[in-house]
Amino acid sequence: MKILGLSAHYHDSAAALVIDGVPVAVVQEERLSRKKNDAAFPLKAIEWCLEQAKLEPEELDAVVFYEKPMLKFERILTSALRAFPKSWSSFPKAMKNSLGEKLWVKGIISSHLGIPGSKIFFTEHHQAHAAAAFLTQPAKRAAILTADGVGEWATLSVGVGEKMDDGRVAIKLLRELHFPHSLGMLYSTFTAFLGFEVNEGEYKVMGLASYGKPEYVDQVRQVISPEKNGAFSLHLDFFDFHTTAKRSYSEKFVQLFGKPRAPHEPLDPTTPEGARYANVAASVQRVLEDTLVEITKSLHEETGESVLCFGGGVALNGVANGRILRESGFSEMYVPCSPGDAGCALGAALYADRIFFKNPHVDFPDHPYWGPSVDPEELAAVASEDGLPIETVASDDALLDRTVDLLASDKIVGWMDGPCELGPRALGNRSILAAPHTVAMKDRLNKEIKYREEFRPFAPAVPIEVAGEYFELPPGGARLGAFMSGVFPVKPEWRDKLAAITHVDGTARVQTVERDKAPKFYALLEKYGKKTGIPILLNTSFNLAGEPIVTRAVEGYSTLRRCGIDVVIAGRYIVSKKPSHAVMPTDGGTS
Amino acid sequence: MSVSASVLELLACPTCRGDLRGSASLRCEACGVDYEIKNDIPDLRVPSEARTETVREFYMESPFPGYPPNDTLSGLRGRAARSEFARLLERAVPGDAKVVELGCGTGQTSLFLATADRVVIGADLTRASLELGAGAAKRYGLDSVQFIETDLRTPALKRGAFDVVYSSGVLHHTPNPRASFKSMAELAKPGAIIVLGLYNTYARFPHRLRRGIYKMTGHKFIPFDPILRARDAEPERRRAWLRDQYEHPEEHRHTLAEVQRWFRENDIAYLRTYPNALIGAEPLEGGELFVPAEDDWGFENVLSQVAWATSLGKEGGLWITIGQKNADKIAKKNA
Repeated sequence: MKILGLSAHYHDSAAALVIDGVPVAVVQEERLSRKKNDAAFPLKAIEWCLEQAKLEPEELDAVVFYEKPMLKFERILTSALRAFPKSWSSFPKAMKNSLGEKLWVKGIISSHLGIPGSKIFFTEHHQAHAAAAFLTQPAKRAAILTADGVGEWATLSVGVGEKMDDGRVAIKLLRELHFPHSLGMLYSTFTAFLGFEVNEGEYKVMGLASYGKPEYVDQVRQVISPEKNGAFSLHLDFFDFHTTAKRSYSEKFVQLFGKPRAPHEPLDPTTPEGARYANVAASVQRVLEDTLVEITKSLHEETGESVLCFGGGVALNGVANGRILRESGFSEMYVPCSPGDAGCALGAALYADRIFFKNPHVDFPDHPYWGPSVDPEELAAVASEDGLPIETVASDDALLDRTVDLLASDKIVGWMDGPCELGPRALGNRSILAAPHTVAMKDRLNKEIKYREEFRPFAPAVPIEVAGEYFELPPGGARLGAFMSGVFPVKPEWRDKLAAITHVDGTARVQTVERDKAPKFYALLEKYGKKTGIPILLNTSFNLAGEPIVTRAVEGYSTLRRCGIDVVIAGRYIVSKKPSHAVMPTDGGTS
Repeated sequence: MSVSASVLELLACPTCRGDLRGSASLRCEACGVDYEIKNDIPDLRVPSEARTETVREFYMESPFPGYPPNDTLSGLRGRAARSEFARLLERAVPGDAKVVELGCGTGQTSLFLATADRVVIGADLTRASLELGAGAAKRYGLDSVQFIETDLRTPALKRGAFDVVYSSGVLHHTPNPRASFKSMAELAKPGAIIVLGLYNTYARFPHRLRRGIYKMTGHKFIPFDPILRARDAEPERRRAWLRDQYEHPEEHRHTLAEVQRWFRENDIAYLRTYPNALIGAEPLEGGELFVPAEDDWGFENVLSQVAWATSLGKEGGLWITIGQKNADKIAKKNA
């Protein structure tokens, strides 16, 4: 069966093509449209996916959308009515926003692709999350947890998944929590309060949390209180997200936590004001972790499963994931490479394949590399047009040696190899790589390329077999690190030598690299280890602030030209900048 | 810190245009005049005419905008990037361009543009402003920006040396904007981009009405100034806006047709304006800023400018025109 999964209209839109139970192509629209977090109907992504399999739209057996628009509209309408009269001012906007193309998804798919409505299906949002988490990993049985802001009604769901011996698949929902009681919304509200962009700045809250002490835990507990089985409820008088789109926290919230931070104002945790923000971040992070640990503990007791699959945007919180793995009782934990809405395109397609159409489960490798491949010739062409030095090496082995030399001499390398990753993280195919050893390197990356806040750490990549030598990994930690889904302590004796990737609290968001999933990247780490003694590289996404991760070689090239990266490598080409205009002192008669 | 070699080759003696050499101070190789470097900022200003001097004193009194305490480079970049124009500009300026900002004030734009392998010179008349910029550059560890104190009419900058010549909100405060533009245009290399921001005659009309009332009521009453109102809670920033917009000693306003005439006089091809002078044009977000607009029709341009009175008019009526030096010769060479 040829099934196309789609996610669109909210945050990251994406398309996924699944043929005979196996993903063939998955890509986020932003990677092709070059608009960060593009939420438009993913026409470019669909076109690219179909091209990969040389399919015409009419040859598709089904197109599956990742949520039920009518159910979602019902939630928006009901919430607006419940919040009346507070919601009256934002009501027209909310309706205008939902009544347009977002509601008539079936018609849009049908008219864009020219396929009959009978071939168009819908999964529920959290079913798509659950499928993206459970069906893309190898375990036969697992408990499933999904948590995000909100889909239709559900904000959090727990269930179990089973791949039976005869190939049938069951995903059973045990319970779900409904809007407005949402962990994602709670975290996003604090994200907005702390002056970061919602849906984008959550990881900044996580990074900032390490600088603070959880002194506001009691206050956070006033806005969210626990219920049985680890569930919780939000106290709505502290929030405004359910009544208006303008502000997510209420006046009462401000009374509790103090003045909100204005976006882009300096944030220095060493000042009293900055420390307050860091403490608030630490407190909400702590409460999020505690809540998730409670939920997963009771889920573990209830299901008796040993594996946990965790999907939804909240699963991007690596610090919380680390604690779940250590404290919940699950011995293994899996977070997909794209737990957020983009991954739902794949989740929806797989869910339809296994559950709607009852096709037998087929295993496929759980790597993230499902996107467009890089064309090295394109890089060589644009670089030679501009007259930039291009070095061509004779073999892959020579390329790796040369790259290791560059990295070991503190060069910053833009690395493009094979198909691009699905999800928010560069995992070695579209990465900026650098030596992980010094604070100076971290500062240089911040200053010349990423322009990030000081409190955001960079991540390390390490071969999975030796990860435990450098990082304190609980059982199952190495597995969780495959897609940088867990934050773990760097072993104290290595912190000085891994200063660029060690966060202020001594932790790192480790990527564990497996040879069979990323052979070239693995070999690069190995060779770097041979040369320097430490097989670890700093791996950050290949993009500039505010731009999507690069996809094609020209985008990598343009990034090289616009920031302080030293070289870009694709295929067997190494493109460097012109010998830089000499910035040297002019005294003493130097010319 | 001395002036780097890459910067030195972009500077010239303000009196005779000769090459400058030196480190602790700069000396003109041609006429032998010495120029001091104080607090990392070369003093390359020669005495200017009285009206320019008045403007300089006006800015010496209160340099603006300042930098918030504990600011970081990412904070500065974050604030700058809130403006769509700033994002487009950052994308469009080549990574290895030599850039000069004329009238850089406290240097925020210069610092924002100082990425990749660019060399950025921030030039201004007012030392007090430049020192804030140079201080920030030092704190952020940016070594590819050099601030210099110089007058636009006798700039201590090499002619034909820059890939991007940027000046926004400055020429309309000089005694003779047309002559200032000539001197600005001379700095551009063949093929270089000129980015010029000026008060628009039409778009600033609402503001002039407000200012008229302000003056008639004996500096007591200003109706409908949204920026002033937004700054009610911040007296310092409110005062700065009031001074800059209502009490400036020298101000001119210009039309697009006038700027296009200046462009022609200086062999500069007109590319486009920001905001777009084409009616109903697609937003430029993610597009290219330095490519010619699809059309340039005088009548439409006038209509757009009139319409800017309601949009840009709220914020003082500044608009940007972009041109390219010797574009026709470049095109011939490439063909």
